[in-house]
Amino acid sequence: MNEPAISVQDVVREYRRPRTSLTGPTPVVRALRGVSLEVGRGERFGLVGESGSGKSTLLRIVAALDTPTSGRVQVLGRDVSGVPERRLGFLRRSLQLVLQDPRSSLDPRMRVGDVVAEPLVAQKLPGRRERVREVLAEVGLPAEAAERYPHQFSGGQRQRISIARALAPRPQILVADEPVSALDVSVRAQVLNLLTDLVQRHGLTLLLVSHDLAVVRHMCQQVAVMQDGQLVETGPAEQLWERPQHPYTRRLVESAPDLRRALDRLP
Amino acid sequence: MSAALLEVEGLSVAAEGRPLVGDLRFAVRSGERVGLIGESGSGKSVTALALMGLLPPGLRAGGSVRLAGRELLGAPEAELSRLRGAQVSMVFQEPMTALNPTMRIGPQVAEVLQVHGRVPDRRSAWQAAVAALADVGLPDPPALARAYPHQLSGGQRQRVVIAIALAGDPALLVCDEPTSALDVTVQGRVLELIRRGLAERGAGCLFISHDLAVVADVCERVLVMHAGRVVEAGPTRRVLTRPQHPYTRGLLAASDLGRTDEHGRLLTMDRFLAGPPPPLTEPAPPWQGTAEDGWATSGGGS
Repeated sequence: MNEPAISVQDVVREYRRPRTSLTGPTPVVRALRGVSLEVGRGERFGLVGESGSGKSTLLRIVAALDTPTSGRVQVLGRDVSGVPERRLGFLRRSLQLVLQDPRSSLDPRMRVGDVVAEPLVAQKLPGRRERVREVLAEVGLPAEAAERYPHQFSGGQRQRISIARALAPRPQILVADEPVSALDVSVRAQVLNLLTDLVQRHGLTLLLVSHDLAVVRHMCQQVAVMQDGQLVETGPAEQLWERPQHPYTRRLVESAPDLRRALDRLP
Repeated sequence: MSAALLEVEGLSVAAEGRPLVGDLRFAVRSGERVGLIGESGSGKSVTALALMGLLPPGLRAGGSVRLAGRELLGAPEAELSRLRGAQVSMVFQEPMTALNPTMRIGPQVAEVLQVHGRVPDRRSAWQAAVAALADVGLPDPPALARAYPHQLSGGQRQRVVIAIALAGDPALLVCDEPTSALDVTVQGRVLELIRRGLAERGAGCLFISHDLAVVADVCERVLVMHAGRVVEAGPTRRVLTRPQHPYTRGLLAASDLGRTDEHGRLLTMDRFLAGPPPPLTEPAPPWQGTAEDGWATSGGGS
């Protein structure tokens, strides 16, 4: 039982671009160039990088929504890449996703209760109504929310709905892709507090992707920095922040908007 | 104190009788960078659109907006379109939607110069456009002028939008979340570019953002907007280090991810706000700001 929650070994992902000429070779985009990492059970692991660095590709591969060109991915000790969907039931139950923009990840035509129940339906889990009420309460939404539609909620509440949906099948691993970057600062802290509470209460493993170092620093123990499809630095969050080793990490830390630094510069 | 470039007095915006923004008053002087802080729904973007005369149908503005002494509200569209791009221009959040996807970059920049009669003919418009692209630090401007927006990165696209906004040498630049869609390492350089462009032209700026760190980086004075009203205004340093209004205090606390309470939890807004904000249909709660804070325009008290 001491195998890691997520293990990624030397994963490469290449995409072919559409041909630009009839005779020339099809251009290849190397989205991931040999990425290896390990997320321990119960660990809160952060993945930082800019747009195009490959972090979302890596998440998709870990969630078996995409297959690597080469390399191996294991979740809870079992292979997930190249495995047919019908044998991924364990993964769909144990690993759940929270995406950036709840406006596009929630079906506008479905009532919130049905949205949250979706993973339960997909996995044929019993006691749906009861579970929906439970998880809505856990994310701080009233039971009546189940009868309403996503557009009737604010951005922060919609992200609570996505979190409730992710929690519904009682996963062990929560993968969150920029969960607060579409939210206002005023609700960001609330949603991060909620995630922290849930991770602690249920002993979840958290894989959090963000371009915002401050979010990752607050939420995660271990952080990996990604650039151009490679991990350039991995280490404890505080260490990366205080003593970044790689020049790219240093640049990220320095360019992160910082209120105190900005105020110090003001007359 | 130099004369105000932009004077906003009693500006209100309403949608079919429902008020969105109530009784705004503030001024921006030439060369001054004023921040408008607020969260989505606070009315900051609607305010920007009202200043530009670009409110969508169904929204109506009342009060007064004067640019260099000229009243903009109710001015005929022909006059407004002469002013837009030449006297006042705008940088939007999402450069992909601000640019025309079917048009090459160069002509989009050249268009502004030609429309406002800055250049005598098409040929010099093209040259001026390439120079404008070079001016915002884009690599290989002649080649870039022939590219389409989708061929550029997000940061490059925003530089193009800034080049277009600055092409007419406006006296006032309105920026609505200009770097919120950009990566952090790009953000700093784009902000620097905006600051430089403003300084070179001695232009004033109304800078809208929800990001306090970005506003502190750019603006010398700020207005904090909440539920359609400005709740606090003053020099950036004072407002962000010694906030008076509970909403500003809450916003500052919630923005600080390095600060937690005794249980290791981030501070949230609800600790600071007693209840929902008063509706705009009711009179504003008393405000203790002074004319010195830039809250009132010259002569007007509060």
